Amino acid sequence: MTEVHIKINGTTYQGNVEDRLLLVHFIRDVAWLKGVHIGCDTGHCGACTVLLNGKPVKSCQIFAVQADGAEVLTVEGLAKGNETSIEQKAFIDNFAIQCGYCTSGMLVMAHYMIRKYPQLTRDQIRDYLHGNYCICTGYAQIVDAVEDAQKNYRKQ
Amino acid sequence: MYPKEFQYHRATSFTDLFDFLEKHEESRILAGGQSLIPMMKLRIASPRFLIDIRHMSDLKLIKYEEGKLKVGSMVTHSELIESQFVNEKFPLLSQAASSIGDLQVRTLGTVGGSICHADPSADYLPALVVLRAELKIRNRKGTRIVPVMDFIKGALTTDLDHSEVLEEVLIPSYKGRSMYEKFSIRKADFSIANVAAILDTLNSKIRDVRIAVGSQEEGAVELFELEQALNDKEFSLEALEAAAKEAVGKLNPLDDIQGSPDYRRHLIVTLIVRMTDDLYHSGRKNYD
Repeated sequence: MTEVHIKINGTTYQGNVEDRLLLVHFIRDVAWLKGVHIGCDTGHCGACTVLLNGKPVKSCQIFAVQADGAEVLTVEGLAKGNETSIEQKAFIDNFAIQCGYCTSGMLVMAHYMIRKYPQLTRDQIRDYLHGNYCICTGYAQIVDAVEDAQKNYRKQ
Repeated sequence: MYPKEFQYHRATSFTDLFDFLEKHEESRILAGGQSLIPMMKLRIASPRFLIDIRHMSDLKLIKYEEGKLKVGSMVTHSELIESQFVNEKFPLLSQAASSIGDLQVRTLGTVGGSICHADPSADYLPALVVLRAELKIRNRKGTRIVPVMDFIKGALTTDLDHSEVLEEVLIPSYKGRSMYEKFSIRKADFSIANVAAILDTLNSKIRDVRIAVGSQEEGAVELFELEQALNDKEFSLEALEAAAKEAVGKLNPLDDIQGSPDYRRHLIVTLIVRMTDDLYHSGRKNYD
């Protein structure tokens, strides 16, 4: 057992956890933030994607103890209260959500991508999202949404 | 799914690392964890102790010294791809790194972790072979340098002893154009066939061509016979196809659900022909 402190969306959460506790379970069961999802558990689907110290990782592929002292951004951290972030609004406007299971991972990736890369093409969006699977939408609307989010982000 | 119980420790220095590895026989070094953690979740690997070397800053350097690129073993694939120097002077390396997994995997996954895991389909392996890479390994007594071909002993097997750590990858500069190609069904999949090639030309003749293929039973294999058939000659598509088919016919590609050996050989020949053709013709443009 190890005592870990992880800052999630600006708040530090503390837990005395087994070393084998995955970060995704820390976020869901210790910090009680249910936005991050477990889709496959084998590290393929990306539904568990969060930002760790500003960079995208699959939280089911890292132990909470490894993230001790780190900062994490989850989907809940994209906007405050009842506001919607640029990415969230773009996903709504472009019908990029059906069941919503992949959506939190997709939103975190979109948040990262539009800030990190200048002028993403549709091909590049697809390329950077290939670690995030969606069974429902067929991806086209998700690519539309990221393009839209990028446009609105640049306008600000 | 979660792994069997284990104890986690963060290494603070090489001494700390070697002390720990020597004290605990059932311990494994944890680098990025992008290969080890999935294996532990499936319980294919169940080390009782994990020693995390992610905070050893000595292992995170990218530098150019004595004519060689030196990449610290804990440099992540993303960091390698984002290095302007590597992109300009050693594009083959960043091309191979860009083919690994997906963006999330590349954030945590490390150059050293990938090499020491030694999956036969690993993207770095054929690239490191044609780049004539050497590996600097550190143990309690000091360091030793091993050429990459001698380091990889087979699938998932390397020359690394239990109480050793890969410190750096050393890559000499090279001339000519380079290319890395990977064939897989989905981008993030393990490769079914992957080839790395470097080619230079002098006047209109091929010079110093190097071709290595991955996803073989032994890991990565350099095609010396093929190189000999092509070197110091003008480009001929027929000769290339014939020589490639002969060389590839002797290979032992992996045999699994992703592809039979014959299918993989067919893919490899296709990749080699396309790549050599491309490297020769666009390389030659620079001389005109």
